[in-house]
Amino acid sequence: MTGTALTAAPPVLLSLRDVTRRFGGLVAVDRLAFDVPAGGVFSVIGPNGAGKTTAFNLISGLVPLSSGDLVFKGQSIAGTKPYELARLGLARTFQNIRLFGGATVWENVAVAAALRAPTGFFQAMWRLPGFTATRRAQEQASLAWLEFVGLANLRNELARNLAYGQQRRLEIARALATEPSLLLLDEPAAGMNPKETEDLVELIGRIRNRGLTVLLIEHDMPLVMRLSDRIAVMNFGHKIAEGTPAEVQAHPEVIRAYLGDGDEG
Amino acid sequence: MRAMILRVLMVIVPLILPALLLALPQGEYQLDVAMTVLLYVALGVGLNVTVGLAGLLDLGYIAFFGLGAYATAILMHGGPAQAEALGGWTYWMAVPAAVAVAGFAGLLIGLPTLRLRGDYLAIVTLAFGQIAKLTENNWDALTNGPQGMEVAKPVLFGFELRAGWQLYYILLLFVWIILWSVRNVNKSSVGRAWVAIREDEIAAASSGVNVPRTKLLAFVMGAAIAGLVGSFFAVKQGFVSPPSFDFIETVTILAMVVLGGIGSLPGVVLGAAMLAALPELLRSLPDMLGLGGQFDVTPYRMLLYGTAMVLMMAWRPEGLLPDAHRRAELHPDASGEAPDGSGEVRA
Amino acid sequence: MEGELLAQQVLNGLTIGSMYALIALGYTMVYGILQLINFAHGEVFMVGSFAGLGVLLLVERIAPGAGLVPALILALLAAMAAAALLGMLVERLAYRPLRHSPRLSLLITALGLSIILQNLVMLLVGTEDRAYPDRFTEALQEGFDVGAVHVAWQQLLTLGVALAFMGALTWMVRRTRLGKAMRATAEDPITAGLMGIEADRIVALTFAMGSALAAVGGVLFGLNYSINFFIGTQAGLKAFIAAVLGGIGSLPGAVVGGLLLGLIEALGAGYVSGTWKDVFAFVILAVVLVFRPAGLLGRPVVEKV
Repeated sequence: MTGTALTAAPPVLLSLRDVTRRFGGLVAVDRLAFDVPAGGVFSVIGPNGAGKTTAFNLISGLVPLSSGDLVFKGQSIAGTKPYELARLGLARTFQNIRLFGGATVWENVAVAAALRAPTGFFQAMWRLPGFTATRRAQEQASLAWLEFVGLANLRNELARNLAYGQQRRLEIARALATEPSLLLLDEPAAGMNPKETEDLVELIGRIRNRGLTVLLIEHDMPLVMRLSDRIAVMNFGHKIAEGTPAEVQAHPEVIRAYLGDGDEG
Repeated sequence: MRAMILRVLMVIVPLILPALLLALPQGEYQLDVAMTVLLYVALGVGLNVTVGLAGLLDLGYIAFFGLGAYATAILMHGGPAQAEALGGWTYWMAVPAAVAVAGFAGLLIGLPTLRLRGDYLAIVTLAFGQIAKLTENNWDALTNGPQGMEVAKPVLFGFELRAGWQLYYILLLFVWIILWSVRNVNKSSVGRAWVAIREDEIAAASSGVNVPRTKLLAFVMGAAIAGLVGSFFAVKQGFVSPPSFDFIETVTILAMVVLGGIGSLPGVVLGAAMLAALPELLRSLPDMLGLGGQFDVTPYRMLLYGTAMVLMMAWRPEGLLPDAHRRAELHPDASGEAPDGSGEVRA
Repeated sequence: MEGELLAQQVLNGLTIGSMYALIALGYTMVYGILQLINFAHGEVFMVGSFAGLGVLLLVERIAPGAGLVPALILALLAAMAAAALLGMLVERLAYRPLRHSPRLSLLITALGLSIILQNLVMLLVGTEDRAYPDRFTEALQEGFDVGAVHVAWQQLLTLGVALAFMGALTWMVRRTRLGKAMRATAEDPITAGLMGIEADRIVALTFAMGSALAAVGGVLFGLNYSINFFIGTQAGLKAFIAAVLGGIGSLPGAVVGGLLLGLIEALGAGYVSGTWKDVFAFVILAVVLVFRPAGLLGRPVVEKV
């Protein structure tokens, strides 16, 4: 699966081309460039403050680029709004979980499921023909994704009443319900206990088996090494290394960044 | 159970109300008060779509009501200048036009404004309300300025509907259509998108919700409802003039929504009924207590509304009859029951 | 003749514009620090105007022959103090408890407050127009003529006082410790807190200063026009538009926006139509929001999504 030979390489799904973001005088992401191939798990690692989350915010359209370009499925997505990105097939979760806490579990997912089975406004207002069909499609898709992440039995609970690990899974289910081809996971294992982490590994495995591409930011190194097909390492806004888990672990710059920083155990 | 009782109350009571009221002394007057309450209920439900469901403060709401009323008057009578192109419409043709005019105005105002921070909408709509009033007062050729315009009663199958109870049932029909439509939208994925936007705009957008468009739907829907109610108001009063569409009216309706429960349909009905009936009750209070004379509440009415808004926001922002979603949003610490707004989902 | 009408309208426009600017500064200061549109600000202006009237009436009763200038200074200071207190009270009682509530709750509270203030004043002073004592307004209506252009003392006074206060504010924000603390809190309240700046105190002082400036505008307004309980709504709306035009959150923007709005209104009234004078401001608001929502001197305000 490493695909080093050009002929065997799968098509590129997402391409970062000298992506740069400045905040005032600070360059948070500096000419970052890498290609995420279709299929498999691609991870971005690096010490705290390396610019990983900013990179995610740039990719998902929450923060505009200062310069550079982003190419998704062959077309530039620089300046594209987040909801348009969702339509194009790019979904994400957040480092600090952002659920609709006062809504129920299934409603959280149904909001996203409406993207692929939209209800027209007048259709909804006057129950015009087709309304029931789209509503059923939304409900079934939501339930299917809740089952996929193992939360179907909690569907009528308030989202914020879920346990921490369950909230993370719900956020993933919501992202999946937009039927993305690329799923961005921002530190999905943060704050999880070993059991929850193990479940997460299994879940990400199943997501990848469905043919989705996963772009992952994570601090849990053993998890990253187990899951990733390819890893890019960032420090101070730059990419300092890229390769297979084995290549990255042996890379002197990476060792220096982590040992020198002393941030990661 | 509670939902059942509410539903019965909302259907049966208003249906038989005219018969009950007309049996009372001063029956016509009582019926007129009931119509005023119902009118405010309809307006409250409309404003509630914008303020409660989408979380947007619309301070020019009454201007959309005015637009609907003036559009009806002008289309039926052609304005004081008797413009050839306008006028001569029946009431029933004027109603959808009034709705369309108000909705289109909402679109024009919402489109540029809803891209910006929520606060801007409040100010822009406040300004819109002022422009509307200025136009009503000064565009004499179309609106007859401060003198206002007469409006004929609606005609159905050759009969002129001028009795109080006849007008009452037209209004009741409108109110039911409005309530049913709003409830349907709110229970659909559009309603869920509104919840999502209120809770977390960024997460909503990342989940594929077109945030500006979804907000615009609520704003335009609110405006269109106001236009519909305005078209009824024109024929009910038989007269339209600028003072009916003052900013004070927007404040009044907002106070009803806040008091009853932002985002809650039963709450808004309660709030509207309370605040619309209250001045009438207070007015006749000295009489009922045997003191004779009437109590002039007008100077204190606005003070009461302002105080109600501030106190409700401080102590019970979800209102007297809250919507479950709203209560859950406003009290992040309480676990509470799951909102039943969109129904349970069975496997 | 053409040129003289123009000059007269420019002078009138700058006079009213400087009052807009004084009120707009309060909107912009509060917005800069709390991202909140303080709806009650227009009413603070109105209360300040009435406070000035009260002091002058009192002076007329106690010391009918008192000098014009000391009496005016006294009225100005008293109005500023009253408005500053009111501003802090509004912040403390209404906004601070809701700082973590949804924005809608804050907006509704602000609206409720402005309605309360308006109607309290109405119950106190009645609905009819009131004027500052003749002795002051008549003396100030005199002035001198430059060609056919009449320059009234009240116009010069208004412009002079307004510019002086704007200058003082700019100096304070740029040069003093308090000003630096305010800017730091506006930039990043959490970090400012870590540096030992008490955000609550800064916010209260911001309300006090903005309100005092609005009161200056109120007293100047009272010297130029008659006043009633309703002047706050219109003035507040115009000043808000001025703040948006200049770029909300920007102090120089508020001044530029206020003066520009005054000029546009005066020229529009003079050359186009007096009846539709108030529409010009709203047209400007619409144009700015569509084409340049950040205003002339502001930062972008499009919601981050």
